[in-house]
Amino acid sequence: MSFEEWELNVQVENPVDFISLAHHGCELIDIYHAQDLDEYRI
Amino acid sequence: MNLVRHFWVKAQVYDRKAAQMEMDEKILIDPSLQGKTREEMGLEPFRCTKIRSSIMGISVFISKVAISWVTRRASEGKFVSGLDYSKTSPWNNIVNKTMFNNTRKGKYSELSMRNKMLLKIRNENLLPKGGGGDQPSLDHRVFLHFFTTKQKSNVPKYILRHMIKILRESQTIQRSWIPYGRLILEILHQGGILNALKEVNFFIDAQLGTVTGKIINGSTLKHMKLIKKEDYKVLNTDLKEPTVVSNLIYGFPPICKQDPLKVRERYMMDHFERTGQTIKITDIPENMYGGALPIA
Repeated sequence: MSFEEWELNVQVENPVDFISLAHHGCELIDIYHAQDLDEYRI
Repeated sequence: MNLVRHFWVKAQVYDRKAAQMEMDEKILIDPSLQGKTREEMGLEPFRCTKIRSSIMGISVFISKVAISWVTRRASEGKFVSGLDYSKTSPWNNIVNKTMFNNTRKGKYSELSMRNKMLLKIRNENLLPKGGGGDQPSLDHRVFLHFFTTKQKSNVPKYILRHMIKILRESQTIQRSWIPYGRLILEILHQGGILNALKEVNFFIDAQLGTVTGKIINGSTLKHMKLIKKEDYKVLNTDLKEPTVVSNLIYGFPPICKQDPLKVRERYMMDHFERTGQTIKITDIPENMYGGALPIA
């Protein structure tokens, strides 16, 4: 790689607020539950 | 996030192809090894695809088992790969039915709110792309199909495959973007690398990427113009940012006897000038910690 290490941008995380989504009519918790991702929502 | 950067710049994909190249190199050096097993060549058996790297001499690797560990769910479920943008695959009809309730591929505007949101989460959270178009490959549309239809998919394996894809892009098209920062850091943390670094007294907290937030106090109110400048007063009881030296650097030194003599001398002099403390030759370890970590 020709760029320097400090030039690398790290995407830490992109949290999803499932409660807010559900409140606004977009329920996705059941989908994550089906994938066993309840505890760790990346 | 410095550790994540250290990990990424040295990362290499270790898959069946890389394992075969390892064997080929051995045979090139010693042709009598032709036809021998990996074990007979003195190589570790190939168990699974992983990303190998090292941080300050400590071997680290990420496999689907490691991802499974930190995501707290088993590496099991459906996994479909290698479809690319195939227009003849039977999966096209299946995913179109799921996403558009039709056998033909519809437009983004025809997606339901739930599917639009799932697509966004796929792009930014589950299999982050770091920008670019929103058109998912057939592989990824199948992944979304599993989510929408609540069929358990092998999420850890999908994440590893995606991480490998982005890593290869970093190395081939020089993409300076690292996905899954938190996930990688969690693997390093749970794998014990932070403890290992502590053992060799190598890092200070800042180098570990630990960031302490600025204390919010009366000064903050002043800066935010919520109180008048003249109303702000420094109190004896004000919390102060910690100035104690991290126990990670207790005992020093971050050098070993393998370092050139001049480097050791320079470091010891510099340390004495800064702290007034002398580092004894006997305090310098023979080698830096170099053991493998039980990450996966």
